[in-house]
Amino acid sequence: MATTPTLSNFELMVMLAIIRIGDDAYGVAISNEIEETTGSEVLLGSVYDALTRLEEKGLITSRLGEATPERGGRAKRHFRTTSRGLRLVRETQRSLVKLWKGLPELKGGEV
Amino acid sequence: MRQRPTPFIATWILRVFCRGPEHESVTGDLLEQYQNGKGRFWYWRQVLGIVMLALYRKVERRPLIRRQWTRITLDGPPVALPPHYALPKIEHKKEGVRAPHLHRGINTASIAGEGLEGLPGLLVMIFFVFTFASLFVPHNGQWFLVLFLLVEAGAAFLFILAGRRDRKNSDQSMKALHGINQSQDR
Repeated sequence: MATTPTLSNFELMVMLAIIRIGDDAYGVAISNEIEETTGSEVLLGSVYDALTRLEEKGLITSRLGEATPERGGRAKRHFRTTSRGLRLVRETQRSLVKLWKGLPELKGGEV
Repeated sequence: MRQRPTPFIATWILRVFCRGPEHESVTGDLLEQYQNGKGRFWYWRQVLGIVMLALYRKVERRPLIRRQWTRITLDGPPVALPPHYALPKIEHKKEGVRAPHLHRGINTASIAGEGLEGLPGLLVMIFFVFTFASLFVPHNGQWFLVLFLLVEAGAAFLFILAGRRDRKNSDQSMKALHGINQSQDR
């Protein structure tokens, strides 16, 4: 029986950042997007670590892009979500919304 | 446009530990961010993060201590030895002995030239954990600097020694594997 992959909190953030950025999603853009949204600094290494895991799970694909002198002649790796990845994000969202509903402690925005 | 020189030691560490094609994009991203105005401290932290994660993944794929030990039956009683070191020891004891599952004990990663497995990997982890911790733990004065240099030098020395032993073991493993293959062919 094939098991459905699950997403960790950070992996979900990376997936959402890729979807938000679109075709130009590469390491720097993804980490900037997460930093701007969450307000906390992100290690590039951990972003790439999550990207590798997501690619292994078949939730994203990557292709090599152009190399520029400011990158020391190294190529960019562009990422995009697969249909399987999009489906999993939707399922995760649905599950989280279900869990969120009917929690009096979280109503009104006060903890 | 003239490029800012990157911190020399950090770049050297990155080159040593992350030179594979899988690290090319992350290294490029790091350089791009640095050229766009990020600071030296930021660069150092990113490099240490990348290297730590790369080493962690290597160790995760090939654990330092395996739960499953290799059981090798020779003429005498069964011998259970850690796979990494099993083959050279057996080879010294019994040259040309036929042991069909002995190849499982061979450190194939070292033979393939991946390096940084086993004890060297552990030492490098210690080296980087200490370096990483030193960035955040409050400290003062020259005593810390002396301790820092001593630990780093000690770890580097042990790393070189372990690396040499690892290479020697791999060479012996290759010879032994060659011998087993030949005896099985016969």
